[in-house]
Amino acid sequence: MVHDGALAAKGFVSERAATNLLDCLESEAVYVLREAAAEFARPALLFSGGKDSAVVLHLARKAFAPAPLPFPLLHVDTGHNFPEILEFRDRTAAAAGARLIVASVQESIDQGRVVERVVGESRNAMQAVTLLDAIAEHGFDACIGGARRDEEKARAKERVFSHRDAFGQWDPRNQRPEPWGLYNTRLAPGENMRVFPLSDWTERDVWDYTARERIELPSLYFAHERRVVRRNGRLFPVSSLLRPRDGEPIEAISVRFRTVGDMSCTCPVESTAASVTEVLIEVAAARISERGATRADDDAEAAMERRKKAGYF
Amino acid sequence: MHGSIPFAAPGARRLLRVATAGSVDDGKSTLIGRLLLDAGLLPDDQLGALRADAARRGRAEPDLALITDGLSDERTQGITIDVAYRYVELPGRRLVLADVPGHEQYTRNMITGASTADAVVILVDARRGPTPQTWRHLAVALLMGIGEIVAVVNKMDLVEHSEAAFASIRDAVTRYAATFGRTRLRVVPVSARDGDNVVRPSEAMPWYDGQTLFDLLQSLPDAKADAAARPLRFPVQQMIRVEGMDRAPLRACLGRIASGVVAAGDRVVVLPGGRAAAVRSVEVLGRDAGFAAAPQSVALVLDRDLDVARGDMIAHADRAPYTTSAFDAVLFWLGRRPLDPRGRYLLRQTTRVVRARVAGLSAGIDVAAPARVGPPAILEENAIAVASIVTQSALAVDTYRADPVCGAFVLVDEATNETVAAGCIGDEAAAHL
Repeated sequence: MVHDGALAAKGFVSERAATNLLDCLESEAVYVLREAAAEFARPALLFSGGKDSAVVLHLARKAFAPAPLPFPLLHVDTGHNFPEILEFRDRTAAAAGARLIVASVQESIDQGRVVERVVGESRNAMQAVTLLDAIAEHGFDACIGGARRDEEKARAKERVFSHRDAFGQWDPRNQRPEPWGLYNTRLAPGENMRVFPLSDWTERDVWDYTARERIELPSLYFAHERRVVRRNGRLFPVSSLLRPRDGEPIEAISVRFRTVGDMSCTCPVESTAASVTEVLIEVAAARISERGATRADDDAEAAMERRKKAGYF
Repeated sequence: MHGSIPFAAPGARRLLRVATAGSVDDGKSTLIGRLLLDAGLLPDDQLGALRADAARRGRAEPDLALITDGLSDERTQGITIDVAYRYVELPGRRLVLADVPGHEQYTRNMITGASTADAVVILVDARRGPTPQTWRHLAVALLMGIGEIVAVVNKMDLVEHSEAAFASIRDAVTRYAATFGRTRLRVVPVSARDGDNVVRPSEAMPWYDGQTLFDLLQSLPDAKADAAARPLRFPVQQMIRVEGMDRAPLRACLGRIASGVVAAGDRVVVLPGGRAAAVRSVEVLGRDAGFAAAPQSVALVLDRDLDVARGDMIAHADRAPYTTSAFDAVLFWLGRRPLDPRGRYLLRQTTRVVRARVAGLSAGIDVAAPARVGPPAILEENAIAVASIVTQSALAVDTYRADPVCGAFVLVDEATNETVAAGCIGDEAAAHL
């Protein structure tokens, strides 16, 4: 028998095994994923094809290997996604052997569940309806997401296991205490839990971990030439949803995306970082916050808070 | 200024969790804002938004509190509603700041913020001195055995930077901590508004020769690696089927090592049943590692097919925890409704959930005195007491002092699904009182 004291005394266990930052974050995230799988009857992993959800999927595969993924992937497709993201989504889900459920905002519009006032407008707020409908249709009791607390002020206040009432609403005044990682996962009928394994990760951790684990990401995250227009200090990608205004010059420059959302509201940043290592160096030196650089829909204070209260991710 | 953060290999960095607490109006949001601003840790776009906000209000200085107050209710009411987490990148260290609101009705959030903290920073207003809320937060930190406690005396500019004013508060909090048997407490005089002793040393307080808060946070000892030095505790989260080398089906126990080290070949027991086995393999997320240590998430395969399930505890046969269905605990009541002495609650300790009731209260803890007092007739929200807990089935437990992971629990009200209490097994923490 090997005594635990003997190994610990040699010093190499705590040095080598578990004390570096990424190992701690990985271990914590796996703990959260296993709690979600064990405690809920029908969990789903919200998979957008973005970098954070790619990291969560990778962690989930490691958490349960060699057993198969114990939950399906759910994507809320706004209909305004970049084609690179949809291609990546399908390929990655297939490689993981995962069941992929796509809930379509376009269908919600077609069914009259949400109203699109202006064709081409941001569908960010509409996603909540489609998501809640998908939760009800499939009976999901927990949705695992890749949101991080460092992204945004409202998210900074969110618990790891975040309770939603029967209307899908988040009540920031009435969050459950979760001391010592002892999560209270009990739900009344119709209620739902959102689970965030990357709560304590930063943008930089996501990239560090992507590099260490060689996680594949969509090509949009790396430098490529793209046609853009400049508005209010931000770059907007020219697409079928975003056409240049009269007289607005189109530039073809080297850019990459720091976050990926709808084509109508996600702005790339100028960059020549073509590899994970180059991106890492760029992220470590960044002086603009992630969402500040990249989301044209977050301008209004408390915009995210409103969306979250309404049932957004 | 600490403008750019050197690019360090991720493996070289460590995580330090710090909870910050204080009463309403002690200036905590301003302090954290000042810390981030003066240390050059605010992104340019947030800095720009702050300056624009100040310009709109016709002020020269940005409102530092806006950096941390995120929710619209908080802005309109000028209070902080819930624990907010900030991530601060220092050379060689990641700080996770859990910003705990000071409003009395949200005291339960102190439990959430402090329970996993390596250090707690508690603010005191230099003009009014410690408030009941200060004592409450300090008592929680002391009872929870937080490794480092730092009292920050803020608004020193409003008491003319008086050394005597600082000394009287310093002595009061030091005396308070001593009542709990804690001899070491750091105390720093600051002005968050002016930035004195936050990041840069104060010229107005030459009598203070200690560290600034920023230097202190940078130099606090790393989160102790002592979890790995404790006896092995492995709470089972879930079981999965795997195929053994001889293609015989095996079951692997998934979980995170709460304490200690486990290696292939170790003789273990599965509690509370007490069946013995040996560890066949230790897999660290897909890699057969041979051994692993807290706080790693692993899969353990035992050498025989025991009936192991979620909620079981695996420990070394010769250093096993207690198995019991009755124990004393320091109980922090968080529920809006008071304790129902006849009520049945769900008790969650590690991954195990059992029915439980509070059989009796043997003492109350008066946090203002501080002193052990007679048991309260009604245990209400925010109250702390020493309680006897009885569970329907046995648990493998440690005292909180011996093992803070396996000595901690929560109570959930089955009727409302509300988390109504947090508890620390054993009453050593309150024994000095």
